[in-house]
Amino acid sequence: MRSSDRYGLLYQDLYSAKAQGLQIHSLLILIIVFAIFLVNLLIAYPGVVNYDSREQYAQAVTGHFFDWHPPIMAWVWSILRLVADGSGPLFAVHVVCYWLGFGLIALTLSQMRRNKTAWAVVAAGVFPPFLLMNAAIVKDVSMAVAFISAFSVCFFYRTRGLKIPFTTLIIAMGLITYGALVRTNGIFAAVPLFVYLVYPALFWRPIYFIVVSLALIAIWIPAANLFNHRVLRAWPSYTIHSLKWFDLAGIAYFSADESVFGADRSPTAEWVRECYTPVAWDPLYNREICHHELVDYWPQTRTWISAIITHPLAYAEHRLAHFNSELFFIVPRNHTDQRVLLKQHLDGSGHRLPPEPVTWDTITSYLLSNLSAFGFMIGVVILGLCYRSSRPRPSELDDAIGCIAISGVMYTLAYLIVGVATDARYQYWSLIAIFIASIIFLSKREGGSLSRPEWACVGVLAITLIAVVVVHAALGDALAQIG
Amino acid sequence: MQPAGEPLCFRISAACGNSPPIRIPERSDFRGCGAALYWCCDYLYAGAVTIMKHADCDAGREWGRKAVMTIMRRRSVLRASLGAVATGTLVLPYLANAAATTATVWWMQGFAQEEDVAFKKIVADYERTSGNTIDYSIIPYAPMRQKIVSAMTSGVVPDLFQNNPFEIVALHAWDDKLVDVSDVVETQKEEYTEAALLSTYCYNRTKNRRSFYGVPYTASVSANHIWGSLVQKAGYTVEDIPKTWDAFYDFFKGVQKKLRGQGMRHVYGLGFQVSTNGADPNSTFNTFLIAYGGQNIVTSDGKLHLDDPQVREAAIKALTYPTDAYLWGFVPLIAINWNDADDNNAFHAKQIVMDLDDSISTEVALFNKKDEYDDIVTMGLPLSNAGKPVPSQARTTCGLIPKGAQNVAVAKEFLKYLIEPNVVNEYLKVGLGRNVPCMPSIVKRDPWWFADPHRKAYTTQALLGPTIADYWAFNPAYAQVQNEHVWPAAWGDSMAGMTPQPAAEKAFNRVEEIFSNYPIART
Repeated sequence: MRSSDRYGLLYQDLYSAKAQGLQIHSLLILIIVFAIFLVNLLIAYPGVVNYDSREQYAQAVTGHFFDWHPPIMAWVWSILRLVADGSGPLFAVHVVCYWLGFGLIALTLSQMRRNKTAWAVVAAGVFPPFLLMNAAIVKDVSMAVAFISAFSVCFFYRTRGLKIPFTTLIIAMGLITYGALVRTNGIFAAVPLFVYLVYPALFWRPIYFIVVSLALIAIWIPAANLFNHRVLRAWPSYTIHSLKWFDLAGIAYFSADESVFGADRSPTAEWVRECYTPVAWDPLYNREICHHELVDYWPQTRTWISAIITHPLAYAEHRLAHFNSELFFIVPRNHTDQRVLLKQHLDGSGHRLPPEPVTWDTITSYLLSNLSAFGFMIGVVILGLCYRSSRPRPSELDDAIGCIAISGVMYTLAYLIVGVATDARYQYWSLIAIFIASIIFLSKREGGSLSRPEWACVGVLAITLIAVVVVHAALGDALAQIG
Repeated sequence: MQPAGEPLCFRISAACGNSPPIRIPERSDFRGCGAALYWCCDYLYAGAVTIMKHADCDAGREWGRKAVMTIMRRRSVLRASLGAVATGTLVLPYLANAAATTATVWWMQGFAQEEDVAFKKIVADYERTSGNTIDYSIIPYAPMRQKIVSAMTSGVVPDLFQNNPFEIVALHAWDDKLVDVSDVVETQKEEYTEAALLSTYCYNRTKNRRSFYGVPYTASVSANHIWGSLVQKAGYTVEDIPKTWDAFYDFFKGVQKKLRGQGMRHVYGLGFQVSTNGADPNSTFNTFLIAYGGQNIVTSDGKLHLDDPQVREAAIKALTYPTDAYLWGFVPLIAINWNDADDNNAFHAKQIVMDLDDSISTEVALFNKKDEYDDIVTMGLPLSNAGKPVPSQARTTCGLIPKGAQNVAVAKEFLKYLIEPNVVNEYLKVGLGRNVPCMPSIVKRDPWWFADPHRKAYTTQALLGPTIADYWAFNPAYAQVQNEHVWPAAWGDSMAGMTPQPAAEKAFNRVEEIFSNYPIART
């Protein structure tokens, strides 16, 4: 069966779009997107670097790669440095990918005569938390822009029912691979994109999809390690230990069993109470009164797994508490602030004086963090609705919605298992993916009234949004609690 | 017939027959064909080569072709040989006398044109007084370093040059490649600071003793250069700047925050040189090391003291503070690959509020821009965190006479003239006081050194405040440590993600390894 027969309505749309050539809307979108791209580039150039990206830049300059941050970004940066020193070239690449992604999706939708949806995608591109964040030279942004541009290229061909040309396929594959390498947990977001690139029908066979995903992830993790250490020759930083420490401390906290640390380490209950927080692993190592317990402590994988098996409920509580923190759901404002985590005021003393967040950073973090829980809920809802509406025969738009929504949701869900810290930027890709999925999904509803299940979903989302606002207002400011 | 464009050097060399070719030193006026130039017999082709010295490379080749065309005829060769021998017999004694009164000097180009003018004036005065000739070349900083390396490697050296980079005085003294200039230093020994004398009192491993191998005439120290207007714009005054080390530099982090809050998003509080290029990063590290109590890392007997816990702790702190400042965003991103001049440029562009940098060249470069010149505040080093004065490491520029120099006597005589207090004072003054003399009595006698706020602060720090000599003077191993940028490389490791402790350990191991290659007998 030809895919264009399978998606009859879409085929007609495309046929008429082809017949009309480049519509006025498409042209307008191209011009507007290009203009916004230029403004974005000029205003935010050369981008904003933070602590992590400065480390990566230092790696790019010295050529000494470490794998605390996956080294691919530093390696790419070391090549872009040949163009110019500093963050400018990498920032420019990010912005190009970002607007290539949003622009191509909007253009494709416009050529399908879904003009409102197309403009909504452009609007999503300039949505302040997304637009402001793209100025940051961080691996989260690097991953997100690689994924959005790869998705847009696939979307361009898939919605036309066309075969993706080989060169384009390789470019898209390269972008997805880069995105998967640039964050340790990037593979969770990359799997749906790989599937969309190769065989999108798999989305609608959930069991097969889960099996393939697990297989890909299982293969990817050691392969990425090999690539980082053998090809890029990155020094191992044993990042896995931060997850082990975090989980062991969490299990000890919720089970009140300090023996989970194993025979060679016996922290007191007081130490666990004082040093553990579900927000992040950092206080365990960085607080002076906590650090001593972890010096030269490299827990065996057996110890870690054994603790999880012995106290599954405590592990679940710990991971859910962290997930709640990750989504900025039932948490006070500024709960991720270093001063809160380390339970001390750092201003005015000591060398490790974190810079006061600038306005840009404050606004971006505030917007992204407040959207996190809400965005995740939208993702889940859109996935459910899309799955329901795709029966009996999913359209190619359903494939696209499925791909990008699953990518966003899977990426967030991965923090349930592998998350060790909380930061608003971690949800950058998930929010972009889910917003785009939502916009494309809503385009299917243009002109139609909502069904009961859809109204129910709207209700759930509204309740979530209100809950986020009320909870945040009620819990106040974490900074105030430390005096 | 020879092909057009064939290098002269090759042709002349081929025409030498069995005579062993003598390699001509690489000189700027032979650039392009210098490496392949050969001089067969100094009397036979001396004329041709002399002419070439005044021609560019292409013209030299042209001459070469003509010369070879002549050489190719046996009769003309014999005629020319006889002529040259006859002429040489008559002329050589006079040439020798002329050479004896001429010293070849390589001198570093100044940061300001006035410095070159000042040097030329000294040369003219000396020539008038002595009747000797100084055949000088004023060479930019970086090319001169290369020329010195080439000269010392080939053995074809000028009679006098400066220690560029500073530490070569210790390195070449170690290898017995410098002439002992104790007799020159002796003429003004009482006038010098202790740091200046120690800087040139270097160890010679061949003779197993120390002696003076350089004649110091000026010193420079690392000072703080601050934009007063930026401090004010942040809502502070210069008087608000704390006096102790960490608080002093932390203050500029606060200034950055305030300025960024006002929309100056490209401004940085601190201008630390955290790269692995040039001399500044080594100076910055040493300054921090001393401030944190690591002053005795190398003592004047040449011994390394990395076994001293205080030194180790100071080194770790000196690795930590600048890298933290970089990682937290208080130092420009590209400071990690700055060259020595880049911090000056960033400062002039007001990209950084303060710069810790050698000399007051930063200020002098703006001498003709009155508003900006007056806007800069020059400050010495803050007190240590314990509230004690931090000695400045005084980097001394001195004259070196390499072994193999043709006119040692004239070179020494010129140096004696140069370090006469009145002469060196006038020289440095005309050079706008970018560097100070290393003789305190000069500045005490001459109020000019305190008539300008920048000079006053700098002179006070470099001459009247506590100073110590560079560590490489005590043991040239430290020169290798600096040439390899061992400490700045540890910054690099630390900034790239290694914690300061292992980065420091790696550096300690390398430093100890280097020092093991430079054993110094007790003298």
